[in-house]
Amino acid sequence: MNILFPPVKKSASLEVAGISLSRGDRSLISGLSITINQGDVLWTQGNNGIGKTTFLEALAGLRRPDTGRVSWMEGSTPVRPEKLIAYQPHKSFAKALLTTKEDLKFWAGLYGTMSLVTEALDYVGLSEQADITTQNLSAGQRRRLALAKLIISQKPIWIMDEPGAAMDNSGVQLIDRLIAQHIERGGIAIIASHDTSRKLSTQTRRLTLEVAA
Amino acid sequence: MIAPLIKRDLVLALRSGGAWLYGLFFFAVFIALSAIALGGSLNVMRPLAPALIWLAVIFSAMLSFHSIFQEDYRDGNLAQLKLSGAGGLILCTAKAISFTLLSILPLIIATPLAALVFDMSSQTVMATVLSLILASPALAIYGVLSSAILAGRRGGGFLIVLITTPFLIPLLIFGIEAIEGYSIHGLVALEFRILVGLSFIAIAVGLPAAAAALNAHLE
Repeated sequence: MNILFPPVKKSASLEVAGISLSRGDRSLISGLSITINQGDVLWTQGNNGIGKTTFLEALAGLRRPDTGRVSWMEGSTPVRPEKLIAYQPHKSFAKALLTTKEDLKFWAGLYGTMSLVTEALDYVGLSEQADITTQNLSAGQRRRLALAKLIISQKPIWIMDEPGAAMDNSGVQLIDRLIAQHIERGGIAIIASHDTSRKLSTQTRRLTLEVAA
Repeated sequence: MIAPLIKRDLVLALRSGGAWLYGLFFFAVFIALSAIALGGSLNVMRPLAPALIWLAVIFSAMLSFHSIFQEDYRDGNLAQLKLSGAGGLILCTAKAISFTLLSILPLIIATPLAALVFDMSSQTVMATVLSLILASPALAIYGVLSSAILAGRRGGGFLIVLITTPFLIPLLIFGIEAIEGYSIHGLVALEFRILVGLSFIAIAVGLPAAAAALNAHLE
């Protein structure tokens, strides 16, 4: 297990300073500031369409905020988001015509973590599905594959959009275990979810997005 | 980092049930229809053959331009590639190489066969193939550029033609001139050097522009 979850070497943190976000001409979030430190779990909750995904994309550096700034810090130096962020989008991004193992291996090749592929597949419970194409995986199995990609990325900040969707009970437990282990080694997890009742670390925080009155 | 990207594109294309061969099919149909339209007289077709083959290659390539980034953008792979640290330049270079291998190389290989239809001399066939090879980096890179600009936009096919045409005109002019030049000066014909120059310009200017266009989509 320790091969998959080595301690995070340099502490990472995320500083959000007064960001405003909009989609199209609809303003979603305005003036949000928050600092997320090593060991934090941030549950982001809110109704459909309130801007959870947009917020996560901004934290991942995939969307420029209208105003304000997101800074990704390694120790006390600002770095590029690519250095710290692993992002699990709501939709699966597995290539339909590749086998589970080939798809994971491709990303492992980019991250330079080829040696972790077999272990990671085993951890998320997909070793028996290693040689079938991802188009033949169930929705839950594709989400497990996405979890394996978070592991092999070996990045300190995980951003997960509705990780529990389409997951069975053991899948939800897997997510909890995964996040707990990631936090224990000094990582950060930012999660958008409806179900925020669980408490995964002593530093679990909750961010609720609401329609302004 | 470039090699795994190219390898994945090749594997996906080969498993796609032949979709990557549509361009080649279009090329063959274009040549056959041209022969019919020109009345099948070899004396009429022979001098026009290099120009027809060049047109067939350019139109066929244009057909495939829109798909270069489309799928990766839509299924979220582009965003993930950005987060994996593969920069825009690496991505665009990889895409240009895989486009060359999957969409241009089959056309170049098919050119001697198309030449049979027009009864071209072996020297002209040689010159045509050479001019296509030298121009293919530019052809692929401008395709990547247009696809990067229009990634994620619906119905970009028409705009792709508008964007790429001005870049492809010099290639067409000097590509066909080079074939004539070859019959007089051989390989040292000035037009071949111009083609190489155009390809270098594409690498120096087109690739960074494509990378910038791609990054603009992702932030």
